[in-house]
Amino acid sequence: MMNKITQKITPFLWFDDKAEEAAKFYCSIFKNSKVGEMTRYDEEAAKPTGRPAGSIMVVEFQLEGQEFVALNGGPLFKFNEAISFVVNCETQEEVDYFWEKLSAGGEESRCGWLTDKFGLSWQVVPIVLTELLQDKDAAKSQRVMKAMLQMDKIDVAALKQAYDQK
Amino acid sequence: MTNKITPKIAPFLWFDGKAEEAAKFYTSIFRNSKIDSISPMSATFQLDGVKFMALNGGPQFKFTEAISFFVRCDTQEEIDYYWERLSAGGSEGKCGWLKDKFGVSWQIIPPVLGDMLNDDDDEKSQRAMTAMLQMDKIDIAALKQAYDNK
Repeated sequence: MMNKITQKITPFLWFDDKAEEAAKFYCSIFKNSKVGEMTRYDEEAAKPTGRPAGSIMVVEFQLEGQEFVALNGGPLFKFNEAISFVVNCETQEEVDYFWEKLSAGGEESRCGWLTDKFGLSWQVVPIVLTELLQDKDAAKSQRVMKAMLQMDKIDVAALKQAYDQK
Repeated sequence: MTNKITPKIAPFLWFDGKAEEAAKFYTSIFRNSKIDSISPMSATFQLDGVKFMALNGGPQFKFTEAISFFVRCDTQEEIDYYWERLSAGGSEGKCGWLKDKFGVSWQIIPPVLGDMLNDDDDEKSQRAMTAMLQMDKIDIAALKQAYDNK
């Protein structure tokens, strides 16, 4: 089997019925991505979930070389902010890109958080933010935190300005 | 994976005060694991090469089964190990699912299960599926027996 999962731990996303659409959406946004194997419901598995036999049950996909599994499990469970995915960005351009693409049809939130159109939560975060927040100089890191708390999409230049207090 | 390499995408878990305890619990169970940083507010840790972030964000959000973590186990011994350790203080579910003591859902699954369920022989795959649907912890020998119809 070509696309067999090789990671020890793989995030597993429970969708109502949009697993394939979601996998394709995410793969269109992230680099080094691909939709892998799809498994369909047979009669036996379809029964407890209420999904039609023959419809797609499980979709495996990769984003940036990392493996994910999406299930069409029916409407039992909803995504919430208890588990989100952080997208580590090198530049403001990358922040802008992922912010716009992932929030399309979804909802922008505070402090770099957004909910995509399937309800999944993402945090689009420049790597430098973590470094600034962990600065040994507490006054600097507190200024960064304060600036960050006012932002929706993260603005790297404004963070650095707060850090340097220019 | 070293500390320096930042994976593009990292799962981020929202806890109510137990981020450090959870980081210690998970890294005590998985091999190739370590805690990268701990503060009163947050923790970062690696489990078998996957980087996780944990936040003490307060009681706003509770974990649900909408996002779980799938643990690939090659042997029954591995299944037994992760099943017992991760469900300690939590609760065992059906079909290889469990909830740990923090409420995070895990699936302890052998890859051979996927192979059986994807078999071109519908009767074999359906027998494996029927057997799996009756299990809590996955039993590889019983799956194989159902698949082979012995």
